[in-house]
Amino acid sequence: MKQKVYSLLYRTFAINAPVIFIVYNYIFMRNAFQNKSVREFRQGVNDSKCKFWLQTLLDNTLMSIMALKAIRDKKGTIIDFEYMFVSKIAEASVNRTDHTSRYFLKEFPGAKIPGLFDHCVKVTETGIPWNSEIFDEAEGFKSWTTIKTIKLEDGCLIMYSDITERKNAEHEIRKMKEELAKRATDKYQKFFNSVNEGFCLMEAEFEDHKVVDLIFREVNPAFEKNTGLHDVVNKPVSQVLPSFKQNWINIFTQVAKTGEAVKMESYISELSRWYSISFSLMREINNSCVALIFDDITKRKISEVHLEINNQKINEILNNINVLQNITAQKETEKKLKENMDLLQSILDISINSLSVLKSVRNSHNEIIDFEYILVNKTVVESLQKGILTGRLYTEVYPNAKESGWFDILKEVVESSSMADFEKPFNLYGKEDWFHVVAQKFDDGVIVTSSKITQRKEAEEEIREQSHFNRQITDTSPDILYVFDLVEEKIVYINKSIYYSLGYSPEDIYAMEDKLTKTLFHPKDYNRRIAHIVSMATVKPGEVRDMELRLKDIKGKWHWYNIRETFFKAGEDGSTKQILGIGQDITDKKEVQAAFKEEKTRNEELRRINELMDTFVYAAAHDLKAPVANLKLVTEVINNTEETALRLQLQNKYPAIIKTLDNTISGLINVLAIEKGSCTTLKELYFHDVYKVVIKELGQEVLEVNPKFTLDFSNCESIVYIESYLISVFRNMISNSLKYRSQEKKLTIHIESKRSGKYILLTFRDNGIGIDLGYYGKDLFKPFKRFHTLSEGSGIGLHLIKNMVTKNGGKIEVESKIGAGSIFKNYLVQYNK
Amino acid sequence: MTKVFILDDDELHNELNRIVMNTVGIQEIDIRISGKDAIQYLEDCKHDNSFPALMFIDLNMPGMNGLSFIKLFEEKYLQYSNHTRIIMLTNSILDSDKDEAMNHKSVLYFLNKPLTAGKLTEILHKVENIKV
Repeated sequence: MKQKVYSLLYRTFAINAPVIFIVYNYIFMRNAFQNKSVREFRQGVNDSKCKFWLQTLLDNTLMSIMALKAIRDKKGTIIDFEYMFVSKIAEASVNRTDHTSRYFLKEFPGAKIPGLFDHCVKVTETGIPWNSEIFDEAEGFKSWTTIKTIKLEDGCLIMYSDITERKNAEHEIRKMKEELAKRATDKYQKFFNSVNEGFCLMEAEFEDHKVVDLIFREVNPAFEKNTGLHDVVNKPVSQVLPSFKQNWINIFTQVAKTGEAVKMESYISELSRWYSISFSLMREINNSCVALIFDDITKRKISEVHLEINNQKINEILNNINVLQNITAQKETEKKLKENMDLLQSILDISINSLSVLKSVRNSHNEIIDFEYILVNKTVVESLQKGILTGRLYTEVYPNAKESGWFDILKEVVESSSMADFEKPFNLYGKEDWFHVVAQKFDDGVIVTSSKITQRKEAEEEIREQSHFNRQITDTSPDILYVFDLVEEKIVYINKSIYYSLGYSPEDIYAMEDKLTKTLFHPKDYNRRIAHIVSMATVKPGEVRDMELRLKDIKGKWHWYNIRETFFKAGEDGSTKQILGIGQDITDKKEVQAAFKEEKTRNEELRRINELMDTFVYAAAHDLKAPVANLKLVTEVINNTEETALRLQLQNKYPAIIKTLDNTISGLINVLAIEKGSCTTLKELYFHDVYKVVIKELGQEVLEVNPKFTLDFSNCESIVYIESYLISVFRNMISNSLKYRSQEKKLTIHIESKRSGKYILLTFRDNGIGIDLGYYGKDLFKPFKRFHTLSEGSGIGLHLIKNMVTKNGGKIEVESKIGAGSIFKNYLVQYNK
Repeated sequence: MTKVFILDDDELHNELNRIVMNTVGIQEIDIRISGKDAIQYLEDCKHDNSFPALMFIDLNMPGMNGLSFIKLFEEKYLQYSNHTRIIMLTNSILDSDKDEAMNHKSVLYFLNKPLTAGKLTEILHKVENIKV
């Protein structure tokens, strides 16, 4: 028994090689000294000395060892174990010094360990060893124990040791490595994605401890893209790529044996492409897992550089991966990796901005001389159109990186760990565009994102110019520009013009608030203004409403303004809240307008006067010349004749001629007098009074003829008119009636007044000889046209009257019948006092 | 015997003219004071087939003015009396009146009033050269 123990010890101590070595050597040397055979030696173990060594060995070992002998019942079932011997440590751990002959079940605290007894039984019966690591938590203190049980004759040998410390250390390491792994994983994720190669994990399938097949366990998206193989997960290579099966199995074996990665370039006939495949053992998962990296090198066969670089990276990845110890963590990480990777790629590719990850390239003095593309997103690739960027140098992709200053910016970011955020123009394809660039340090490199902002920049510039322009317009415009809030009844914006025009600064205006109207506006314009403001609530965009009003400047002087207002901003309820207005000083214009109006009136007056003067001149020329000519004639004949009778006859003509002359001159003077006095006397004149005056003036003539007058001024008793004018009208009308009376009947003259629309109608009706209007018609009111040969004096009368009446908008109408009489209708327009 | 016609609305002037003409030896003088009457006179002449040698026509008259009369005469009556000559006798000093008057072929002179004896004699001489 003890011999067996010894041999077992030997075996179990295989782990602790040094101990074994020492022990063995000691014994061997001892044996060698004594020149005994092993068998003899073993026999000698019964020797007390051997026993002593063993005990010493047992006592000095750090492991707890217990040899147990099975206690069987009558049926042969193991019911207990008896301690054969126990190591010192074991004793110490259970606070006993002598286990010998104690019973396992009763005593050993290990019995606490669930199932330990059963395991021992099983080991004893079957001979299959049992290993385990047991975790215990007692009093908040965690402890790990490793326990190994092997069959020993009809019993078992238990070896256990506390590995808490180791476990803790392991845990720490694991944590660190997880950390590392995570970092590596992050890197890995990035790399994993940037890697254009297909990646897959394969697990070996064993049969009798020999690899017979390899099964695809996981693939990355690039794998499918690269190989064109879909849905390979959980399928064996024998099915997917049968031609490679043996080759890969061989490689796998090699890799598994050496632990070293193997790389090969092969042509996969099923895919008709060249691939570079890397095999590496994924020990962390299990000893039968390999990672394969596929790379379609059909193209790459051309460019070895990329391949080299990528492989380096892959090795890096693989190195990082090989650092991982924890199996489940790795599985988790990989799963997360794949998810994150997909997400990352999608996010990166969705972004319209360029994203590049660059790694510093340093020279022997550790200075950054260039950058290498580690990762780029779709936008970069598409915008540069320079093909695959990964692995290429920055200065190669951007030849003018250094001279444009971009290189230095990136270098600065890496060296100072600062973040760069700037907008800069950059010449791409000969066209200068603006870019907004953000660069951030990442490891020994930089992540750069940029977006093209040319359009925005252009728009900004336009707006800036526009604002500047607008500001210039509003500031230099002589007109007042303002925004008025209808709800709050105050100016919310007014330009500087207000100062130059009315002397108030914009601040003064804002301060006025709702007192604005009272302060600046003319009292006569208040109501109009307020009504206008109320109406502005409905003004639509684009609709302009204007009004003229007076504004008072800071000195108190009034100015006429034309203000044009339109919709500016709507309120929440949709109605107009604010209006934009522009005000122009039209004081001058108004004055000009008034002057113009005056001018117009004056012009019209002048025209009338001119006409009159022409008439005057003409009348003077003609009507004066006639009697003068007669005088001449008479004088000449008298002078040329001796006949006294004739002389006398002619001399008698003088009075008549002189009278005609006199009348004409008087008439003409009268015209002038009337014109001279016309502008000033506006009076309310009673028709009856005027009639009386004229009758008196005409005097003798009226008395001689003695017409019958009938008057009716009941409808309209008076008129505001120019006195001299109205007198002339009466005189002319009556005088004509007197002159052109019928010889056969008594003259009757009817004068009446009434309102007729805007006129005051003054009618003169007589029963005289009448006028042949068909014959004389248009000549009636022409100057100096005497319409009857019986008349004397100037024919200027009716022309003058017409002139007076039409001066302020009136008219004269005539109705006449030969032999019956005439009706003169004077439509007079009353003057405004 | 020279036959003369005067058309003028100034009756005094007509009378004076008659006197002057008498002194020069013209006895047969017809006077009318309105265009209407004058036209009637022309009709009579036509009827009698005896038109005056001279017609003294005033320009500015109420109703039909001198020029209108002349136009009418030339239109309707000249054919019967192509020996008749017209003297415009007027107070008008306007060149436009003169020009317009002289446009008419039967108008011999455009004279300002008064018509002196001397002038009258001159005219008679002129007319005498024209066959009746």
